[in-house]
Amino acid sequence: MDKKKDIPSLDALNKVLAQRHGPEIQARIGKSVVGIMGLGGLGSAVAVALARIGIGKLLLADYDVVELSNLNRQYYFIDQIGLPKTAALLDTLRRINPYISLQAINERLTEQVIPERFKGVDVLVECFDDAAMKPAALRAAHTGMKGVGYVGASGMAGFGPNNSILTKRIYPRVYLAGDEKSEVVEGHGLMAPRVGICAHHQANQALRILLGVEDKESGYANHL
Amino acid sequence: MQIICNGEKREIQPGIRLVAFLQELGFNPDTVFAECNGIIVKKEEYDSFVLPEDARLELIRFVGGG
Repeated sequence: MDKKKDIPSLDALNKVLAQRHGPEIQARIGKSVVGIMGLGGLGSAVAVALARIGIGKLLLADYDVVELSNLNRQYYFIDQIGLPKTAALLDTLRRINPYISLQAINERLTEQVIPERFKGVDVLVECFDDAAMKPAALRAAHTGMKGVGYVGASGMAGFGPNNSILTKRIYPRVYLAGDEKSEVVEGHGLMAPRVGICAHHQANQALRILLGVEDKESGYANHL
Repeated sequence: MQIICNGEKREIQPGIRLVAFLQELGFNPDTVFAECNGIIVKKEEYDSFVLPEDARLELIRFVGGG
């Protein structure tokens, strides 16, 4: 790290992203704003994936600090232990793309504050660890943020089959990823590979929403 | 009396409140998103919300981890 590399210009970075992704698609990605609630195994991976494709802006919310026990699945490093997750992740994302607009929300979110904190986002990605915050966030988004894209997650612990992780549509522009049942129990903890599968379901679904793709099939509970 | 919960018919006691119904299903009410007849039930109403006859109830139960 002693030898400082030249940082590519914004034009150079945008050019390679547009070459890879297609100019029209990249223009859309570059204008998009995504909020991520919770920066653990899901949220840190979603943020990195969206930063790599040159998202316009990320709002990143977490109240916690990086701990040694996080490193089995979360996108942090030994030298970041003790730092707030928001600060650590902002630092990592800037190393991927220094031109992305990043906003840290360093607080414990509640159902009541979510619509205000994430006002104006195109897509909100729910990456909470706490089971009670998951329905709370869905209620907040669906009642207080009309028309917002939303991707939640439920059920990704352990090392169950890859293909039991699914993304289902529950309302227009509102999706949930996961297997809906794998919670943390003894011998069935959260592990990088499967949490990563779920996180990347979420990231890709967020991208699909941003690019205007609406999945019509796979309603969640038959009638919703 | 009957309701339709996640597409399936279910017998419930008349007057039962949402919180009791969720507990009967073995769910922690805090981890459940509920929509009744197309309207999202607010969390603070779970204790008082009485399931109406022929209700179409949609529940999403979340598990922790992220």
